[in-house]
Amino acid sequence: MAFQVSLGDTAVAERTATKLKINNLNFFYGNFQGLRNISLEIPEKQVTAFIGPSGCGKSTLLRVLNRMYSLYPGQRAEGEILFNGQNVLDPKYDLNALRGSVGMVFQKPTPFPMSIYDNIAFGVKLYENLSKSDMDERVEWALKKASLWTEAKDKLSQSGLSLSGGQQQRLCIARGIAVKPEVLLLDEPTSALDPISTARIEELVSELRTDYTIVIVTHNMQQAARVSQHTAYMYLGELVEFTPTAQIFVKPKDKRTEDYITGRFG
Amino acid sequence: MEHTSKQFEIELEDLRSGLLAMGGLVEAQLERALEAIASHEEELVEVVLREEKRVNDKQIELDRKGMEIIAKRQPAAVDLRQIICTMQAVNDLERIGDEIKKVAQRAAQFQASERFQLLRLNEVKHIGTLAQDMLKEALNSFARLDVISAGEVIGRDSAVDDEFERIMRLLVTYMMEDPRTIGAGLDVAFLAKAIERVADHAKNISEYVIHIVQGQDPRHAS
Repeated sequence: MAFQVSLGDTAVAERTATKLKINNLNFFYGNFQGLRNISLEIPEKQVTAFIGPSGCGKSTLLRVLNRMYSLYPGQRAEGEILFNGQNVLDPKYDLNALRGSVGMVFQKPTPFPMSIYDNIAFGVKLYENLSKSDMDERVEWALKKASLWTEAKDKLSQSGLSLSGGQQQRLCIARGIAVKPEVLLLDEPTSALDPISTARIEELVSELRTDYTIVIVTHNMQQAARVSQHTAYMYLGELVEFTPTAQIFVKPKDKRTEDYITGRFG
Repeated sequence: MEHTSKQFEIELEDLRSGLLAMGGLVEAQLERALEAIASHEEELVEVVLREEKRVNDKQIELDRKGMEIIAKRQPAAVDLRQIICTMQAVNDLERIGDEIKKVAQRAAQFQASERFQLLRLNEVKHIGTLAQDMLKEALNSFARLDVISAGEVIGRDSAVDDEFERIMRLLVTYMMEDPRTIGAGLDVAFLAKAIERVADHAKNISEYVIHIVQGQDPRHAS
């Protein structure tokens, strides 16, 4: 019929190169299969959000991306994750280099029990040998990027634990970007924060997007809608739908996605 | 499937039934206005003008409810489309109310003067019935979220436009034949135009049904 038209161009997120290409990924916690045959292309210098109910595998997927799982025995991944053309799941892939280029920030702020300055310098020292002045510059740069500089510049020698929850989380983000990674993984970065701190982190994510590829796991669907350009809906270890964010919250392709984001779940 | 939040379900239903109640008011108004043209009953015109306030009040009430749901629930996908489209339909119903008021006011003028006798007011009867049916069916399709019947209503709008054209040609003929009919002719033209606008708004309401169900905005598609 004549009145049927397609969604406008506004629903289509800008297209860029693929940063991480996930091919037929399966993941096992011992005998339990946590991820089932996931294939997904994470676009470069954009924010990709993973949403889904608890236990759907979104955090698992995030943890596979920088092989966080390999710290735990009995967990294994099958398939392929191509990062700059190389499969990061390959046991021969240099794990240190991977963690340097794919950084991660966790749900609860996890500052090291050391000074604000050292919290940031610690990771940098693992990868680079900088002079004192270069390191000072790097710390300032990272804190500025994480919009923590004005609050922290006069107490760099104080413990990172002396900061508020929101500041601690921004410190963790500063720590994550200080090593200049290419990808930043954020696992529920604001679930323990108040609305103001949450807004600042979201603002930060939008700014960081110009330089980094960001993947964020969130329970807060409005947050996914606000900060991401692409959204993946996962359920029971499967990828149900991967769609530009502007489209998924107005007209999802899959009925299961629609039921979840409109609160018709379970 | 129902929302996990029953309260959300109740709020959405409340908004939906509010729109249909408003639609019922407007339908009754149109019935009275068309009746006033045919019967020359002054009382009917008074009722239309009085009842218009109820339609306006309903618009304000439903707009407030819609805004409250958005603020409280941050609706997404089909819920978001339903709420936004319902609020737009409320707007269209209010505009239909305005058009009906114009029809009633013209009818009152005809009742007050003799000059309408020079023209056959019956000519607007048919377009009135067409618009009335469209409005009724548009509200039905909204109530049932019936895309098929909504599509039919959209298709019927061109018949109303054709009928309006026919009336205009007829009026021009009358007015050329007898310049004394020009005043009354213009009045009839405005009246017919108001009815034609009612049909346009009914078409809009049907388009929202398609937008809600299919997620595609069919406006300005032709």
